[in-house]
Amino acid sequence: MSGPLSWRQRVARHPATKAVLHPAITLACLLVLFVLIFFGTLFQADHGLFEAQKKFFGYGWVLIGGFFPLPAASQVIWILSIQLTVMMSLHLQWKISKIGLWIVHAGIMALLVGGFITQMMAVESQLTLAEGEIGHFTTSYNEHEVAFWEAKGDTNSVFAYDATALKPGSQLDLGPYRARIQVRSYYENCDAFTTRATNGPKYLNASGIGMLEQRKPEKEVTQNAPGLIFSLSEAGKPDREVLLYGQELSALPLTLDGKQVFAQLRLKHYPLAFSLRLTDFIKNVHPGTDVPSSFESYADLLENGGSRPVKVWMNNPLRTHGYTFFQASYAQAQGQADKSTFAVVTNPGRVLPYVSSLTVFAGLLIHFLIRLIPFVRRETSV
Amino acid sequence: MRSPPPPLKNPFFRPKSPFYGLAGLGLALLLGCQDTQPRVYTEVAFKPLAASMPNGPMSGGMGPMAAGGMPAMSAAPVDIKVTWKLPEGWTTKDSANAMRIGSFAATDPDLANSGEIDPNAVDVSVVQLAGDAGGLKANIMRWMGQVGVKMGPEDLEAFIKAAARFKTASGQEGMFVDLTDKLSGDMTQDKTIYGAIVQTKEYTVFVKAMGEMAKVQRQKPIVKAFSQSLRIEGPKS
Repeated sequence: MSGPLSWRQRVARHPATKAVLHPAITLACLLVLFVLIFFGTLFQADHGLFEAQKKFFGYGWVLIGGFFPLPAASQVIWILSIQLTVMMSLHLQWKISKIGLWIVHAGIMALLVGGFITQMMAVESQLTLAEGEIGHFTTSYNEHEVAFWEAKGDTNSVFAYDATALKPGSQLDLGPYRARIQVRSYYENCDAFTTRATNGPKYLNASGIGMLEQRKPEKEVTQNAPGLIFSLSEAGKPDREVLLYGQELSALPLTLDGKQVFAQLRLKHYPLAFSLRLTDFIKNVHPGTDVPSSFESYADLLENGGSRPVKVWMNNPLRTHGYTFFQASYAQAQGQADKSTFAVVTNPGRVLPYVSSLTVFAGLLIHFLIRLIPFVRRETSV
Repeated sequence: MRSPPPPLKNPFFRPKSPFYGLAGLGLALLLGCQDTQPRVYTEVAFKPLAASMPNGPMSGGMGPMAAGGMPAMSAAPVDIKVTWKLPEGWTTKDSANAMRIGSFAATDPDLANSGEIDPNAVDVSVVQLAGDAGGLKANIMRWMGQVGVKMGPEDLEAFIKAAARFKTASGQEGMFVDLTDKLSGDMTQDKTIYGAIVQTKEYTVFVKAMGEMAKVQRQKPIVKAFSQSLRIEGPKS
């Protein structure tokens, strides 16, 4: 007669648990992922990588062929993760003989956790420097922020909201300045017209822009020019109407809380933990042709008053301080200093895929050996 | 005989249930998705290098200068320190142009008194360059090119000769460059320049106020006073 069931066993036998762990769900999820990858790849050709990532691999629903709805990949992976977690919690037996299976599943879990960490926390940005220039921060490829800053010597104290917070009607406090903005309009992509071209309301703007006109977002989101109109409220002062355009080079000077503050709608900045000075960029070509064979950037990494030379070239990124600098692009023009562009990635989960692969390999090996040894003994005894 | 299993209790509310860990993780992820939180950070201001200039002597003709291009000059830093007295109503601007040592928005006096910021304020810049910075004539012609004014070599000579002179607060001699009464041939220009140039063997300092004609006209006396307030300390001649 068996004893009372543990809570693990009771939950495992519950019809809801069985439904959650049904293999058909696993197979369906894998099939959906296959379909999403296939159609996402086709979609990317016409709509660009960013739109494809957002639509097929983010959250929400995708209409395959315009009529068949499928959940986007992130949701599917969540379902697989939940299945895996429940299965590990309830079905894997706590036996030494099963240690290999535990390790295999832990490895798969590490892969999924790594994927989520990457999705939530990885930052991809870029840094373009001319020879001799020093970079202190990187900029996003396509994400914008509305930034307010005070210049203090060579540094700027920045207070910024991501563009995702700029929803019409939303009120955002400018913490350090006892002021508030109320978003009137935010356009992901728009055209700007000078005050001269319009007879509408006058906005504060550093470039004489007086009107924004919404445009359909570009296929490549990096080509979008966002625009923002907001009302700036400060205690004891009449509200000011401000217009910022994402393509402006000049920041708008404002007086806020008695301080001189600059405002700009710009690509998101990510301060670096050090500075990088590009000393030389070299493009080598195959002999007798103009076909490039390699791109090399030589730079000084400046930190704590010292510097050390570093080199970044194709397929040989610079990894330091949690950043990875890839050689991404360059620009050369007669009479001008060469420019080099680095793709800069910070991803706290970047090692997890490697850990996962090794863990799964180790788990399979251990499980194989655990099964192999009794088999060999049995065969030998026979 | 096997006894029936006891009724199920909801495992998710057991004190040590993994549900709490998962729920906490989910909550943290959801909170991480909140995008209305501001970011506060400090960054070193980026200072791009000045654009490289073509080598060789500057052409003497009107062609390239009329297009507003920069004359051949040394953009190397010069070891001088320039200070000034900031006029009331001017606000310091953050400039992406590394050649500028001062950048200001000269607010219309009417708006300045009201405490409002002028969206079409006159742009005033102070630039210091080594040596003669390509020459006096070349730079005046470049300014003319920026506002569509054309002038023959003889007229330019006469213009420079007739230009008003002044002394800075530190004693260097300079000249005012007044293009506010100069119109382009087709009369379509909407901007003008009023500026000052202080030139020695070691350096050249430019003050340039550029903007709508009426606004620059109103800023003329203020730009004059600003130019006269320059205090240039640097290499001895």
